[in-house]
Amino acid sequence: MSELSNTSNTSLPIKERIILFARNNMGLISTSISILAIGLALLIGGILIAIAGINPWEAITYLIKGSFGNRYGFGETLTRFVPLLFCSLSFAIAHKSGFFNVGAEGQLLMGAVGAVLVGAYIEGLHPVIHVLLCILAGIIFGALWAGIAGVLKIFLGSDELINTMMLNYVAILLVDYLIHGPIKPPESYLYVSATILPSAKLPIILSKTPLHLGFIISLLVTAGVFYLIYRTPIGYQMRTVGANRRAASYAGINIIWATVVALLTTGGLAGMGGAMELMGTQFKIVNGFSAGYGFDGIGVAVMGRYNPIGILLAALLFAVIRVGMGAMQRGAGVPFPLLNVIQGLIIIFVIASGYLTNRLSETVIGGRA
Amino acid sequence: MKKFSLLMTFVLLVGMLAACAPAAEAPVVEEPAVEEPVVEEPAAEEPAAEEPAAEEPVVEEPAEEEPLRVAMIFNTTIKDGGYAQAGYEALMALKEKYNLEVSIQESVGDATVKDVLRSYAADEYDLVYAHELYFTDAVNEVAPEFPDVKFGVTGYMAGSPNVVALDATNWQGVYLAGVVAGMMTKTNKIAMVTVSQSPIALTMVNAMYMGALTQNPDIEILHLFTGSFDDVVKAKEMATAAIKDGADIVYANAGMGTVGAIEAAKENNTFAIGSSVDRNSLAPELVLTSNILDSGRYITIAVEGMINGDLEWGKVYVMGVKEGVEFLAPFNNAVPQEVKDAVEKATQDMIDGKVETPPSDKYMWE
Repeated sequence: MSELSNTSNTSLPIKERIILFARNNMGLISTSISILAIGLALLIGGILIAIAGINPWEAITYLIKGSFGNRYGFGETLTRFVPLLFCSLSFAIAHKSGFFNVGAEGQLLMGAVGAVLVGAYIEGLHPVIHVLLCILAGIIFGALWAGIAGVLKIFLGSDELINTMMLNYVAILLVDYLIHGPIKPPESYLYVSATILPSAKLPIILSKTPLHLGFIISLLVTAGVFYLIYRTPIGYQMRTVGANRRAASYAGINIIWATVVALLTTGGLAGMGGAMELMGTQFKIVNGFSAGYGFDGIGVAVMGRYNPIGILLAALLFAVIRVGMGAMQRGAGVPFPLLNVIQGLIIIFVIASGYLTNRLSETVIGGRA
Repeated sequence: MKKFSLLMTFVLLVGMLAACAPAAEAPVVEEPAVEEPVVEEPAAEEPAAEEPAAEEPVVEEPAEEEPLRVAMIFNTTIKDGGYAQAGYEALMALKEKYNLEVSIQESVGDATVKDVLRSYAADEYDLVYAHELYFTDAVNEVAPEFPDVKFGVTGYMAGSPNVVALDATNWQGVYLAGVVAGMMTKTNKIAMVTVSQSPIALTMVNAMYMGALTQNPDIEILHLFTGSFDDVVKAKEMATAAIKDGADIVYANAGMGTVGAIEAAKENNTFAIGSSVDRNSLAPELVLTSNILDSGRYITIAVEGMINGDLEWGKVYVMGVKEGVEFLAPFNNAVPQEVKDAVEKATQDMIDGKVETPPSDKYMWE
């Protein structure tokens, strides 16, 4: 192929030559585009930082150093990675099964509520059993919360996008109510939930960092989720329903059953993420318990193209950004509002680069045919 | 296509790491040269060899006399025009005065504050100050992990020997406002707008009552609470209703609602007393004064106490009029000299400890 293109290069019009070159070097091109995207985002961010009167090189050094360059930052990055991963898995599963679950934020919160109820109020259990029960409670609460939108969709045909999104706000306010009364320890000055018992806490797996067992669990769950989707009959059914509902129906697939399984999985995953965050790092529900993980999870899933490796890497990138931004503020004194701008720039550029790569490869394939 | 996208995402991260590699390593080269002559200990106490190199470069001028390194954490923006800003400005003033090396992180959520505290502590700051009541638990949880670092918190608990908690009485300033209100009212009714009926709010209400009672035996307080720190409209409606009910002084301590209550006073041409910061500009003719809570004093007390070595660690300091945390803003022209004298006397009484802490569980007049 490459010999062919090399020999015919000179005789072809310029457009054809570009297409040929692109076809032969797609990997190289997409690589360059991605590097360029990050570079461009950091460049623009750097210019903004310089305008703010701060040394941009120093600031960007802190971004990396804060998230990878020291032991604590490294552990913190991988800790942030856990809820992001769960929420993006939740969104990805829903996407594969043909519906939009933008309610991971609420499901995560409800999962945390389930875990705190079991973790704080059931005493005298063996740690292993207690931890498992808490996770189970998180899954059930998250799944039930997603189930509300699911019931509305299956029986009334109402749009799950709206419902899951609205249920986020219901969950946020419900949790707010709970920590103001029902699950607030009476002796506490602050509006927080009760703290889970030591037996329900996840062990730290890297000393002197916040990195907890949930990290390993999250990797195992990722493998399990994609096994379910790609290697089991129900996974096949879910994907078929997602690809074409009517075709699935003609093929004799029980659409309701497939949707129910998908819903429980998607809600359960987000709920499990909430349980992990609670049992691994926070130990109680505070105001703003989820720092937008449910919403970022959507971005992670989209950026990771709904495939396992992509999602893992995208979740890592989001975690790096989250942790690195704090370090930029602490180390280089970059103002917080500017950090939000840079964060947005990186995400926009990376998504745009993915789009560009997509379009390019389509053109190349089109050129071939 | 899937392969491409996959590759792309992977490459993007590799690209990032590649881009950062020189950045992360560059400081390492200059590090040992700067560090070794100054301190020998860190290498011994830090088991992981790579870490100190990577996190140290923050210290750039250890060759000269090492400045005190102070970190401060805020839960809102430092440009909030109130609580956080006062703290930040106080820190900047201290930086000038004592040549401190300072770092701040703003808009930190309750959910991530522990990580921020630990990052600063791992960076070996001398003092890590969390300027928010809701950070109290987190500080007390993190502090025992870093016995060599001192922690300060604007809060109610110091559960570790390296923590100091600084808190306001939250009632002494209100007591002074009560003295003013008690003398200025003609109808003997004072409207008081707070956020809730929490123990802190009840203490404030009772302080207002006690202060007013010293000047006026027939005083009556109409206590109203909005249920929200942000509800300007509700605070205004409640204050208006109280004015219609006969109150001729409005005191508001209800977050943003304070502005609404003063707005109500303005519309009804009624005197008002503000809170937290000087609210005189809202209605110069009508806002008699404001009971100020100077949240900048906390960080000043913590830093100066550290420099002078007279701060007792592991202790909660509850501070008020005596320590200069709470006081009244300059009076407007409507306040006569006798009121000013009475406030001065009440201030002295409080400094001398002659005023008892008001109850927090019930209204005193009940």
